[in-house]
Amino acid sequence: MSELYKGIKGFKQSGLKNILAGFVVSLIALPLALGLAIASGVPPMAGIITVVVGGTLAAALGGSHVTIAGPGNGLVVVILTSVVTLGQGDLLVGYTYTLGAIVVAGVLITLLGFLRLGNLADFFPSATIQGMLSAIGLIIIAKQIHVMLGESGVEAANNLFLLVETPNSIIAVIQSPEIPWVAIMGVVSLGIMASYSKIRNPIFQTIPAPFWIVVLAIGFYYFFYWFSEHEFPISNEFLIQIPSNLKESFVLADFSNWNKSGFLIAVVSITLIATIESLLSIKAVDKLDVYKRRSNINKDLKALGIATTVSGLIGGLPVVAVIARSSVNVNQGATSRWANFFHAVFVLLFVVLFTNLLTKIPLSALAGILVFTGYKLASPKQFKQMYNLGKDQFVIFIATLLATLLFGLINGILIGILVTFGVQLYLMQNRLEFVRTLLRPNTLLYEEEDGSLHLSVKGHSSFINYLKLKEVLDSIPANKSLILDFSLTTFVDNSVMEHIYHYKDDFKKKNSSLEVIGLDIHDSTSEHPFAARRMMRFTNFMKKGDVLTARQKRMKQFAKDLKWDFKSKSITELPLLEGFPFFRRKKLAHAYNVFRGEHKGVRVKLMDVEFYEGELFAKEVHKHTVLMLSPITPIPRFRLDKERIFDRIAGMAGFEDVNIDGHEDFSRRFRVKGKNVEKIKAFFTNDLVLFFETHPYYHLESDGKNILILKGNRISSISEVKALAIYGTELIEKLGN
Amino acid sequence: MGLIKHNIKPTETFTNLATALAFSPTAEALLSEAKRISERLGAKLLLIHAGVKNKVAEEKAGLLLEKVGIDSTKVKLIWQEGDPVKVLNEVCHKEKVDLLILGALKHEDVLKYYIGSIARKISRNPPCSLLLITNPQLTKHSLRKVVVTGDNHPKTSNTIEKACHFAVNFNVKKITIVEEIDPKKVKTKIDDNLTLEQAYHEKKDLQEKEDQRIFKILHKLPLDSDTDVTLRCVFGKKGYSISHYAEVKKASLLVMNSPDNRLGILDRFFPHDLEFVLSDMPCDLMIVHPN
Repeated sequence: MSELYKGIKGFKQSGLKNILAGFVVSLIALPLALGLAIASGVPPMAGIITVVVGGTLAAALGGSHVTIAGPGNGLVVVILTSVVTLGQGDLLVGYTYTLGAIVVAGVLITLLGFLRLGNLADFFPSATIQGMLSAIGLIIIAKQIHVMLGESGVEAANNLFLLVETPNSIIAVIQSPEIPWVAIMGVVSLGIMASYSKIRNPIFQTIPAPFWIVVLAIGFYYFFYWFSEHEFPISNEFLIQIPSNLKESFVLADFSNWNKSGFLIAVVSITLIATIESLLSIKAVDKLDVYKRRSNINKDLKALGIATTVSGLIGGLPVVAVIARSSVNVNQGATSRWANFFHAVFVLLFVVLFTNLLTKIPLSALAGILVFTGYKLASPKQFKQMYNLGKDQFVIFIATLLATLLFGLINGILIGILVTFGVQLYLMQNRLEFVRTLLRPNTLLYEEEDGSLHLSVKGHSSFINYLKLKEVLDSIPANKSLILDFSLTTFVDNSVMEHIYHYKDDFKKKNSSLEVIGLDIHDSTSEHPFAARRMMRFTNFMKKGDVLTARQKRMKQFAKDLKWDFKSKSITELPLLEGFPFFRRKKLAHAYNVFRGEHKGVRVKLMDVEFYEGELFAKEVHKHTVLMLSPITPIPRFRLDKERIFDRIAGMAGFEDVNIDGHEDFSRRFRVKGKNVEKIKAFFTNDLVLFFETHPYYHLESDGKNILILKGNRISSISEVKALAIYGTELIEKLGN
Repeated sequence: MGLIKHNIKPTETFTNLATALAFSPTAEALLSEAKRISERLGAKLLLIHAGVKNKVAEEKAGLLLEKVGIDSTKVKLIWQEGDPVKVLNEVCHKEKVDLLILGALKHEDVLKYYIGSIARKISRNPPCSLLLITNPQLTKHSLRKVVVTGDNHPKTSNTIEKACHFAVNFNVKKITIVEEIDPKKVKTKIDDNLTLEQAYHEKKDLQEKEDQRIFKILHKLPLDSDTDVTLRCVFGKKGYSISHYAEVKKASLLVMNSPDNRLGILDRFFPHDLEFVLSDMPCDLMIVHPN
C-alpha cells in the first residue's frame, strides 16, 4: 500500500473519499447529537456544539486516524445525573453547573494524555466494563422509553423502578382517547432502527437508519402542512426546541459550584467514563483500520481533553471517540482525520441551513433511536455472552450492573473491581503467595539464540498486573513474532485471556504472529476461549473433560491433516519413553496432547510430556514436546545432538563420541555417541548425514528399537510441533523402512 | 547477544570451604555435596556445628561423616555454641573461609520468609561467598547451565571470573551472562509504529554497550577448553529478571553479587535485586563476596 500523507497533502491524495465518508457519518451524527443531548437533560444544540468542536479540534490535534469524535452514549447517564443533582430540579441551572464540571474534566483528560496514562483504561477487568456498559444501556432505556411513548414526567425512586414503569406507560398510550401520534412516531423510529440491518434493499441502505427517521419525521410534518386540513397533531412540547437565533445556543460554563461534592463526583465520573469510552473505541477502531495504523492514544486523549474543555466552555458536552459512527466512517472508505472534520462541517451546515426543519422532529422519534442504542448495550445477547464466559465472569458482570444501577457509575465500577478481586481470590489456590507477589514483576522478555522473542509470564497474571504485561507486549517490534509462555503461571484471568486474544489479531495484522503456549495443563472456568485458567493439580487433570485450548484445537486440526489420531487426554503409562537414556534420571509424570500416526509402516507418536527431577519440595517440573518413531528394522543405539545440555546423561551412560569417517563438517557440528561404534558408523550413511546437515537441529536418540526426537526444553509452539512432525516423517523416509 | 566461544582454564577459585553440620534430614546430602565440591576444587573443607559439644552429638556427627565418607581425622570440625547465624558468621571470619555451603529451601512459606531462615539471614549479609543448595543430593550429579549476573557493578568482574572458574571445574559447557537493563533507560516512549521502531533501535544500542562491557571482563580471563559463554540481554527489573530467566532456562546454578548493604525486613516487603532471588529461588544460588 502506498504511503499515506498527512495534512493538506493527505487530503489531496485521498480525493473525495473523506468528504463522502464524512457526509454519511454526519447523517447519523446529526440525529444522535440531538438525541443524546436531549437524553442528557441539556438543550439539543449542546449536542451539535459537541460534534462541531469535537470534529474540528480532535481532527486537528488527534493521534488516531479514522475515529469520529462527538457526544457519547456512555456519558448520557453521567451528564443527566449531574444536571439533575447540581441544578436541584432546575435543569437549566444544572446545565451551566455541569458545563463547569465538563471543563474541569476536559483539563483532567488532557493531563492524563500528557502523563501518558492512556493505558489505565486497560486496567478495568472486562466483565466490570461490560457490566457498566449494560447498566448504562438499561438506564438509557429506562429514561427514554417513556419519552418514546410520549409519557413525559414518569418518575421513580431509581432507574430499576423506572424501567418497571414501562407497562404503565404502554397502557396509558393504549388508553389515550386520541390517536397517539407521538408514541407512533417513537415506535416507528425504534422499528426502523431495529429492522434496518435486516432490510437488504440497496436504496434503503444508502441512507443510514437515524437519518431515515429524520426524513420521515420531517416528511410527516409536511404531509400535514400540505395535504391535511387538520393541524399538525404533535404539540410543540413534544418537538425539538432549537433557538431561531443560533447564537443563543452558546451557554457559558458556571464554576461557582466547584466546592460542592456533587461537582466533584461529576468531574470524576465524566473523566473516567469519557476516558474509558474513548479508549475502548480507539482500540476497536484500530482493528478496523485497513491501513493497519496504530493510534497514538495519549495524543488522542490530549486532543479529546482539549476538545472537551472547549466544548464545555461554550455549552457543549464532553467529546469522546465513538465506535458506531467510526465504524460507519471506516465502511465508507475514510482514510484520515479529514473525514472526522467533514462530518462536523456537514452537521454544522445542516443545522445552519435547515434549522426550521429540524424543529419539526418529534422528541419521541429521537428517543426511539436512543432506546435502540440502549438495547444494543444491554441486549439479551450481551447477557448470554457473559454467561458463556463462565459463572465467575457472570457474577462479576451482574454485580457491577446492579451496583451501577443502584449506586451510580463510580461506585458501580469500584464494586465491580472488588468483586472481581474476590472472585479471583476464591478461584486461586495459593492465596497467601498471590497476595505476597501481588505487585511484583512477573514477566521476562528475551531473545532466543535464533532471534525469536520469548515472553515468559510467571505466577498469577490478572487485571492487577496486566498493565505491565501490556507494556512489554506493546514494545515488540512490528516485524517480530512472539512466543508467549504461560507455563510458569498458576492463574491467568479472563481479562488477560481476552487482551491476548486481541493481541493475536494485532500481530496477525502486522504479518507476524503471537503464539500462546503453556496453558494446556491449566484448568479453565468455562469452555469460552477467554475463560480464566488456573494451574490444575495432577488429580484434577485426570478428570478433565474435552475443553481444548487454542493450541490443542490447532493440534487436532493438524492431526486431521496428517490423518493421525489426536487425543488431549493424559496418559501415565509410558514404558517406551522410560527406556530412553534421556529419561533415565527423570520421573515421567504423564504425557498429554498425544498424536498417534503411521508413516511408511513406522509408528509415530508426538506428545507433550511432563516429567520431574527431585522430589517433594525440591521437585523440578519440566515439560517437553517429543516425537517418537518406532521403526520395524532394528537400529543401533546412539545419541545425536549439538548442544551440550544433555552431556550430563551421556556422561552417566558412558557413551563415547563417534566420528563418522569422511564427514568432518558433520562431526564438528553434531555429536554422535554410542557404544557400538562400528554399527553406528554403518548406520550413518552419506544420505543420512546429508539429511542431518541440511535440517534444523534436534536432539535425537535411539534405544535400539525406537527413536526419540526433541528440541529445546519447553513445550513447542504449534509451528514447532508441525516442524517436528514433518522432520520425523522425512527422517523415516531417509531411514528407508 | 551473540555467542562467543570462550576458553577458560580451570584454576583455583575457592580454597577454604565450610559447611554447617546440622542433624537435619538433608544433612547427609548436603555434606556429600560439600565433600564433592571440595574435592573438585581441591579445597579444604571446614565443618561448623552451632551447638553444644557432648558425647551424643559427637557420636551423631561421627556417624554422619562416616556415612558420607569423610575422614573425620582429616577434617576440621568446629563446635561453637550460640545463635547459628552468629556462629557461622564468626567462624567464617576467623577461619578465613571463602565459600560457605548451606542448604536452603526454594520457597519458604510466607511467615518464614518475612522472619528469615538461617540460610537466608546469612545471604542478606554474607561474611564470605555463599553457595545455597536447594536440592542437595547424595550421589554425584553434574551442573548443566550456569547463569551469571552481568550487572553493571564493580563487583561483577570478580563474580564472573569466580563463576566461570567454578563452572569450568565442574565441566559446565554452558555459561550465560545475563545483563539486566532497566527499561527506564530507553528514553523513547512508544506511542505509534515510528516510536516503536526508534525504541527498538535504542534498545539494541544499549545492549551493544552492555555487551562491550562484559566482553572486556571476559577478555581478561585465561583462555583454554571449550566452554560456551553466551551473553543474554533482558530489559526488566534488576534481580527479578535474572531469576525468572534462570527458572525458564532451568539453570542449575545462578551466580549473583553479594548485596552492598545488609538487606533488612523492609527489603523483603519491597524487594529489589538479590531479594527477588531469595524470595523465590529458581535453582542453586551462589552469592559471590568480593573478598
